[in-house]
Amino acid sequence: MFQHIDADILEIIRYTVKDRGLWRVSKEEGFDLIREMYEKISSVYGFPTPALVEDSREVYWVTPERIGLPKVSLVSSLHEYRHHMQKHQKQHYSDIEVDARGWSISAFHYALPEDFDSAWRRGLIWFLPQYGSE
Amino acid sequence: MPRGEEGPGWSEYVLPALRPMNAIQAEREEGFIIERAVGNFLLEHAPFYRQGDITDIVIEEVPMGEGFVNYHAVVAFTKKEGDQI
Repeated sequence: MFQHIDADILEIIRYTVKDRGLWRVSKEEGFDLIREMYEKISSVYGFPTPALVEDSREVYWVTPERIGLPKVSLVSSLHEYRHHMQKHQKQHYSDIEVDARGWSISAFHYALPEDFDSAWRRGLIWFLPQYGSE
Repeated sequence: MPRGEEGPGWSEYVLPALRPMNAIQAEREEGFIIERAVGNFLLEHAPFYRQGDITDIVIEEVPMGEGFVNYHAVVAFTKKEGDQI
């Protein structure tokens, strides 16, 4: 887990999920919300905003800076965005997958702790961190 | 097929290809690169891991000159129990 995620990023995530209803809207609206989230996060860091397209699997194309997602997923969208950050020299762990898993899960945990607890208990996070007690 | 690096829950494959000359070729090539990356993953990891256990793929183009490009595809995987939130 990351020890610190920028407060601005956490607020953008909370706004996207709670105020805009990421988990309640249609798939098309959800993709638009993720695009909006990417724009806001990119403006915080001063990165170009990656394109987001519907794809049959989660994918990040480094050269064209394009993210593909098959469905609306907060953690997957953050995971792919972290690969975009890595391209722009924002990387903590040398292993790109460890770094992307850690950042996306930590961002979810810090932004929405109650939802994280619930998702973690229900097994809705693919790469479960060492978290909580038995 | 050249083998790249690997780490916890991911394997990298190096996929040589001709550089696409236009957008239509590029779109076709991208689909083919994904198929080749998934195919390589299955050759190495099936039957323990299946196609549905792939969590994401990161693809970087490395120009090789003379119209060739190497696509480096990092395929990440885990035993999925369902969709991710």
